[in-house]
Amino acid sequence: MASFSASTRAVESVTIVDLSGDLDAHTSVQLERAIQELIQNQRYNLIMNFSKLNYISSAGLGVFMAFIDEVRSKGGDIKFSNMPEKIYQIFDLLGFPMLYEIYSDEKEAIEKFKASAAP
Amino acid sequence: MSDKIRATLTIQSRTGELERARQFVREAALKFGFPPSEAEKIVLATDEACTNVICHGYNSDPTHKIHIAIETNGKSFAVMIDDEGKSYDLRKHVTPDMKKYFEERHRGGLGIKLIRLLVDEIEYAAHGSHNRLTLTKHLPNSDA
Repeated sequence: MASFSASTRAVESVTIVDLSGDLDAHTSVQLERAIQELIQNQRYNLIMNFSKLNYISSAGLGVFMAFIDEVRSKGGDIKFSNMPEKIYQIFDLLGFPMLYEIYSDEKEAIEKFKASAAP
Repeated sequence: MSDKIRATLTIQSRTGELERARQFVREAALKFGFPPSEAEKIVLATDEACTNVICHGYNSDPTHKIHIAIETNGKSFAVMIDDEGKSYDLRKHVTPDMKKYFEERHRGGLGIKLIRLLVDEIEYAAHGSHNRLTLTKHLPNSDA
Protein backbone atom coordinates (compact mmCIF):
# COMPACT_ATOMS: atom_id res chain seq x y z
CA MET A 1 0.00 0.00 0.00
CA ALA A 2 1.19 3.49 -0.86
CA SER A 3 2.59 5.40 2.05
CA PHE A 4 1.79 9.06 2.28
CA SER A 5 1.97 11.62 5.02
CA ALA A 6 1.18 15.30 5.35
CA SER A 7 2.65 16.80 8.51
CA THR A 8 2.38 20.44 9.41
CA ARG A 9 4.76 22.99 10.97
CA ALA A 10 4.02 26.59 11.83
CA VAL A 11 6.46 29.40 11.11
CA GLU A 12 4.72 32.47 12.55
CA SER A 13 1.62 33.05 10.41
CA VAL A 14 2.71 30.54 7.78
CA THR A 15 1.99 26.81 7.92
CA ILE A 16 4.25 24.44 6.07
CA VAL A 17 2.79 21.10 5.03
CA ASP A 18 5.51 18.52 4.48
CA LEU A 19 4.31 16.00 1.93
CA SER A 20 5.97 12.65 1.66
CA GLY A 21 5.38 9.41 -0.20
CA ASP A 22 2.83 8.86 -2.96
CA LEU A 23 -0.11 11.22 -3.46
CA ASP A 24 -2.75 9.38 -5.50
CA ALA A 25 -6.50 8.73 -5.58
CA HIS A 26 -6.14 6.66 -2.42
CA THR A 27 -4.03 8.98 -0.30
CA SER A 28 -5.35 12.35 -1.52
CA VAL A 29 -8.17 12.07 1.04
CA GLN A 30 -5.55 12.44 3.80
CA LEU A 31 -4.23 15.66 2.30
CA GLU A 32 -7.76 16.96 1.86
CA ARG A 33 -8.44 16.36 5.57
CA ALA A 34 -5.17 18.01 6.59
CA ILE A 35 -5.89 21.18 4.57
CA GLN A 36 -9.50 21.25 5.76
CA GLU A 37 -8.28 21.15 9.35
CA LEU A 38 -5.83 24.00 8.74
CA ILE A 39 -8.60 26.13 7.25
CA GLN A 40 -10.85 25.33 10.22
CA ASN A 41 -8.04 26.55 12.46
CA GLN A 42 -7.86 29.73 10.38
CA ARG A 43 -4.46 28.93 8.94
CA TYR A 44 -4.62 30.37 5.45
CA ASN A 45 -0.97 30.97 4.54
CA LEU A 46 0.00 27.51 3.36
CA ILE A 47 3.19 26.19 1.82
CA MET A 48 3.26 22.68 0.44
CA ASN A 49 6.82 21.39 0.72
CA PHE A 50 7.23 18.64 -1.88
CA SER A 51 10.82 17.67 -1.09
CA LYS A 52 9.88 14.17 0.09
CA LEU A 53 6.99 13.60 -2.28
CA ASN A 54 7.75 10.72 -4.58
CA TYR A 55 4.68 10.68 -6.80
CA ILE A 56 1.58 12.68 -7.68
CA SER A 57 -1.45 11.88 -9.84
CA SER A 58 -4.35 14.09 -10.90
CA ALA A 59 -6.26 13.19 -7.73
CA GLY A 60 -3.53 14.98 -5.76
CA LEU A 61 -3.62 17.99 -8.07
CA GLY A 62 -7.38 18.17 -7.55
CA VAL A 63 -6.91 18.74 -3.81
CA PHE A 64 -5.05 21.99 -4.43
CA MET A 65 -7.76 23.11 -6.85
CA ALA A 66 -10.43 22.34 -4.24
CA PHE A 67 -9.08 24.78 -1.66
CA ILE A 68 -7.35 27.56 -3.56
CA ASP A 69 -10.36 29.90 -3.80
CA GLU A 70 -11.36 29.48 -0.17
CA VAL A 71 -7.83 30.15 1.07
CA ARG A 72 -7.37 33.18 -1.21
CA SER A 73 -10.74 34.60 -0.21
CA LYS A 74 -9.40 34.71 3.36
CA GLY A 75 -6.33 36.61 2.25
CA GLY A 76 -4.08 33.56 2.20
CA ASP A 77 -2.59 31.37 -0.50
CA ILE A 78 -1.33 27.89 -1.25
CA LYS A 79 2.26 28.12 -2.46
CA PHE A 80 4.47 25.24 -3.50
CA SER A 81 8.14 24.69 -2.70
CA ASN A 82 11.03 22.24 -3.02
CA MET A 83 9.51 20.30 -5.91
CA PRO A 84 11.59 17.42 -7.24
CA GLU A 85 11.99 17.73 -11.01
CA LYS A 86 9.73 14.76 -11.77
CA ILE A 87 6.90 16.28 -9.74
CA TYR A 88 7.40 19.71 -11.29
CA GLN A 89 7.11 18.19 -14.75
CA ILE A 90 3.56 17.05 -14.03
CA PHE A 91 2.52 20.46 -12.69
CA ASP A 92 4.16 22.15 -15.64
CA LEU A 93 2.64 19.79 -18.21
CA LEU A 94 -0.84 20.86 -17.10
CA GLY A 95 -0.01 24.53 -16.68
CA PHE A 96 -0.33 24.73 -12.90
CA PRO A 97 2.28 27.51 -12.71
CA MET A 98 -0.49 29.74 -14.21
CA LEU A 99 -2.45 29.57 -10.96
CA TYR A 100 0.10 28.71 -8.26
CA GLU A 101 3.41 30.20 -7.17
CA ILE A 102 6.20 27.64 -7.12
CA TYR A 103 9.44 28.33 -5.21
CA SER A 104 12.63 26.34 -5.21
CA ASP A 105 13.00 26.79 -1.47
CA GLU A 106 10.40 27.10 1.29
CA LYS A 107 12.25 30.08 2.77
CA GLU A 108 11.50 32.08 -0.37
CA ALA A 109 7.84 31.18 -0.07
CA ILE A 110 7.81 32.23 3.60
CA GLU A 111 9.42 35.55 2.66
CA LYS A 112 6.79 36.06 -0.01
CA PHE A 113 4.01 35.64 2.55
CA LYS A 114 5.76 38.05 4.93
CA ALA A 115 6.22 40.62 2.17
CA SER A 116 2.55 40.46 1.18
CA ALA A 117 1.49 40.83 4.82
CA ALA A 118 3.68 43.91 5.36
CA PRO A 119 1.80 47.25 5.35
CA MET B 1 -3.78 -13.73 -25.31
CA SER B 2 -0.74 -13.34 -27.49
CA ASP B 3 2.60 -14.89 -26.65
CA LYS B 4 4.11 -11.39 -26.75
CA ILE B 5 2.70 -10.67 -23.33
CA ARG B 6 5.51 -10.46 -20.86
CA ALA B 7 3.69 -9.89 -17.60
CA THR B 8 0.23 -9.66 -16.12
CA LEU B 9 -1.22 -8.40 -12.87
CA THR B 10 -4.76 -8.46 -11.53
CA ILE B 11 -5.85 -5.91 -8.96
CA GLN B 12 -9.08 -5.35 -7.06
CA SER B 13 -11.12 -2.30 -8.02
CA ARG B 14 -10.10 -0.11 -5.11
CA THR B 15 -7.71 2.81 -4.95
CA GLY B 16 -5.55 1.08 -2.33
CA GLU B 17 -4.40 -1.21 -5.17
CA LEU B 18 -3.04 1.61 -7.34
CA GLU B 19 0.42 1.46 -5.77
CA ARG B 20 0.73 -2.21 -6.73
CA ALA B 21 -0.28 -1.39 -10.32
CA ARG B 22 2.29 1.43 -10.47
CA GLN B 23 5.07 -0.71 -9.10
CA PHE B 24 4.26 -3.46 -11.62
CA VAL B 25 4.39 -1.07 -14.59
CA ARG B 26 7.40 0.85 -13.24
CA GLU B 27 9.53 -2.27 -12.87
CA ALA B 28 8.61 -3.52 -16.33
CA ALA B 29 9.17 -0.12 -17.97
CA LEU B 30 12.61 0.29 -16.41
CA LYS B 31 13.55 -3.26 -17.32
CA PHE B 32 12.37 -2.58 -20.87
CA GLY B 33 14.83 0.29 -21.15
CA PHE B 34 12.92 3.50 -20.49
CA PRO B 35 14.88 6.11 -18.58
CA PRO B 36 13.22 6.75 -15.18
CA SER B 37 11.51 9.99 -16.31
CA GLU B 38 9.90 8.23 -19.30
CA ALA B 39 8.98 5.18 -17.22
CA GLU B 40 7.11 7.47 -14.83
CA LYS B 41 4.96 8.75 -17.72
CA ILE B 42 3.55 5.33 -18.54
CA VAL B 43 3.24 4.63 -14.79
CA LEU B 44 1.15 7.77 -14.26
CA ALA B 45 -0.96 7.11 -17.37
CA THR B 46 -1.72 3.61 -16.08
CA ASP B 47 -2.61 4.97 -12.64
CA GLU B 48 -5.00 7.52 -14.16
CA ALA B 49 -6.65 4.88 -16.35
CA CYS B 50 -7.08 2.45 -13.42
CA THR B 51 -8.41 5.26 -11.22
CA ASN B 52 -11.05 6.02 -13.87
CA VAL B 53 -12.05 2.36 -14.06
CA ILE B 54 -12.30 2.12 -10.26
CA CYS B 55 -14.18 5.38 -9.70
CA HIS B 56 -16.34 5.58 -12.83
CA GLY B 57 -16.31 2.18 -14.56
CA TYR B 58 -17.00 0.29 -11.33
CA ASN B 59 -18.50 3.26 -9.47
CA SER B 60 -16.08 2.70 -6.54
CA ASP B 61 -17.40 -0.82 -5.93
CA PRO B 62 -14.29 -2.66 -4.65
CA THR B 63 -15.49 -6.18 -5.45
CA HIS B 64 -14.44 -6.17 -9.11
CA LYS B 65 -11.16 -6.89 -10.83
CA ILE B 66 -8.91 -5.04 -13.25
CA HIS B 67 -6.44 -7.00 -15.35
CA ILE B 68 -3.25 -5.30 -16.44
CA ALA B 69 -1.00 -6.83 -19.07
CA ILE B 70 2.25 -5.57 -20.54
CA GLU B 71 3.27 -6.41 -24.07
CA THR B 72 6.44 -5.26 -25.77
CA ASN B 73 7.61 -5.56 -29.34
CA GLY B 74 11.15 -4.32 -29.07
CA LYS B 75 10.47 -0.65 -29.63
CA SER B 76 7.13 -0.08 -28.02
CA PHE B 77 5.75 -0.82 -24.62
CA ALA B 78 2.00 -1.41 -24.32
CA VAL B 79 -0.08 -1.57 -21.17
CA MET B 80 -3.47 -3.22 -21.63
CA ILE B 81 -6.08 -2.53 -18.99
CA ASP B 82 -9.09 -4.85 -19.04
CA ASP B 83 -12.25 -4.40 -17.02
CA GLU B 84 -15.91 -5.24 -17.08
CA GLY B 85 -17.29 -1.96 -15.76
CA LYS B 86 -19.24 0.76 -17.49
CA SER B 87 -17.55 1.35 -20.84
CA TYR B 88 -16.09 4.73 -21.66
CA ASP B 89 -14.06 5.54 -24.72
CA LEU B 90 -11.68 8.16 -23.41
CA ARG B 91 -10.51 8.97 -26.93
CA LYS B 92 -13.87 10.74 -27.35
CA HIS B 93 -13.46 12.72 -24.16
CA VAL B 94 -13.13 16.48 -24.68
CA THR B 95 -10.20 17.51 -22.52
CA PRO B 96 -10.26 20.94 -20.92
CA ASP B 97 -8.43 24.00 -22.12
CA MET B 98 -6.21 24.66 -19.11
CA LYS B 99 -6.53 28.45 -19.14
CA LYS B 100 -10.32 28.13 -18.89
CA TYR B 101 -9.94 25.25 -16.43
CA PHE B 102 -7.99 27.42 -14.01
CA GLU B 103 -10.23 30.46 -14.54
CA GLU B 104 -13.30 28.42 -13.76
CA ARG B 105 -11.58 26.67 -10.85
CA HIS B 106 -12.46 23.16 -11.88
CA ARG B 107 -11.30 20.19 -9.94
CA GLY B 108 -10.84 16.71 -11.33
CA GLY B 109 -11.17 15.75 -14.96
CA LEU B 110 -7.44 15.98 -15.57
CA GLY B 111 -6.74 12.25 -15.65
CA ILE B 112 -7.66 11.75 -19.29
CA LYS B 113 -5.80 14.90 -20.28
CA LEU B 114 -2.70 13.54 -18.57
CA ILE B 115 -3.04 10.17 -20.27
CA ARG B 116 -3.16 11.87 -23.67
CA LEU B 117 -0.13 13.98 -22.88
CA LEU B 118 1.91 11.09 -21.50
CA VAL B 119 1.53 8.24 -23.98
CA ASP B 120 2.01 7.96 -27.74
CA GLU B 121 -1.02 5.84 -28.65
CA ILE B 122 -4.40 5.11 -27.08
CA GLU B 123 -6.63 2.28 -28.26
CA TYR B 124 -9.98 1.34 -26.86
CA ALA B 125 -12.28 -1.58 -27.54
CA ALA B 126 -15.50 -2.65 -25.87
CA HIS B 127 -16.93 -6.10 -26.57
CA GLY B 128 -20.09 -6.84 -24.67
CA SER B 129 -19.31 -6.24 -21.02
CA HIS B 130 -15.57 -6.33 -21.58
CA ASN B 131 -13.47 -3.18 -22.09
CA ARG B 132 -9.84 -2.97 -23.08
CA LEU B 133 -7.79 0.19 -23.01
CA THR B 134 -4.30 -0.04 -24.51
CA LEU B 135 -1.74 2.64 -23.75
CA THR B 136 1.43 2.49 -25.82
CA LYS B 137 4.66 4.34 -25.38
CA HIS B 138 7.67 4.12 -27.65
CA LEU B 139 11.26 4.19 -26.59
CA PRO B 140 12.77 7.66 -26.99
CA ASN B 141 14.61 8.13 -30.32
CA SER B 142 12.54 5.37 -31.79
CA ASP B 143 10.71 5.78 -35.11
CA ALA B 144 8.15 3.12 -34.19
